[in-house]
Amino acid sequence: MLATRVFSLVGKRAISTSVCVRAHESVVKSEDFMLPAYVDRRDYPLPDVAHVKHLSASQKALKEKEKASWSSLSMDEKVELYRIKFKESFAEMNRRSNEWKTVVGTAMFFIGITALIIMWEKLYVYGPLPQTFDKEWVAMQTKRMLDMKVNPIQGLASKWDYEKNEWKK
Amino acid sequence: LTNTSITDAQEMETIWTILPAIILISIALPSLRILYLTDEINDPSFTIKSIGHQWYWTYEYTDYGGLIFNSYMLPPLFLNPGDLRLLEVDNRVVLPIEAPVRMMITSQDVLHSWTIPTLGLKTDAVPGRLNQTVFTATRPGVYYGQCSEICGANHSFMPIVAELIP
Repeated sequence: MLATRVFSLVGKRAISTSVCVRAHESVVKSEDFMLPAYVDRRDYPLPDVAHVKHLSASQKALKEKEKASWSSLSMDEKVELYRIKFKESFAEMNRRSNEWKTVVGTAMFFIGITALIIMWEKLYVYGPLPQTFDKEWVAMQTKRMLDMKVNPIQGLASKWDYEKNEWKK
Repeated sequence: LTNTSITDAQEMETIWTILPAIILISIALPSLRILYLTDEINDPSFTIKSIGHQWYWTYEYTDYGGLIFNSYMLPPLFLNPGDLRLLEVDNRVVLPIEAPVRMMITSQDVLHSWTIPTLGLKTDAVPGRLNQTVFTATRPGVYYGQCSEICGANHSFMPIVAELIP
């Protein structure tokens, strides 16, 4: 009772303060977000307003019939009343979708574009690697480090078998 | 906060303030003493000064006569085959093994840090201050390190190479 009185007050205020919105309905003003609105959310089961705002004649008649005993309503009438109040049922609003495929596909697409950019960068932007990365140089370097017995306890030289002249198994 | 059975316990509160304070002081004072004891008594046989510049090191051997030289990184084009890029220098610090060596480290301009990880050495080179580190090496060889305090554009290009000879 109180709710309907409050709602009618708010409703009157809504119409009077947003006449310009009613006229240019494509433009969304910030006041629209402050007015009671309908939402289909499973964590907000009873929305602030009904889904259908302006009832047709038959719907108005049905609403009158609703004021009497509900056992006289047929199944179709009950469903019609539900659809006046709510847009989607819980089953409909919670349904699965294939959106995840779009999201994953788009993400992988952009990762692929990034890979192409990196390949172009390696080819056209970066200079050559220093000669110290050549296999022969690395071999000479490693031989020198083993001769120096670098880190002989737990590091490199500890992994080399000096008797057999090969890496320890 | 005003319940009578949890207020007005002055004796208890005094005890549980004074007693932990005594316990903590009795832990702290020996701990501080031990901290200073861990600064070993070394009597090093050799002292070398290492001065950091932007972007090279200067080593001074002044114990027996004067030897002062700079140590610059070898540019990659000047490397001998098998050398380590960004680690080789033109003049290495030559030191003896099995003798305590004292390094006095300072800087001419900005902060640097004289580091040789395999010898367990890292000492900051602070301008206007002399820091000391003492070590005794046991194995001969060539030991590499890099400047460990950001000091400008060529901070990564001023390595330290110690050649330890028997």
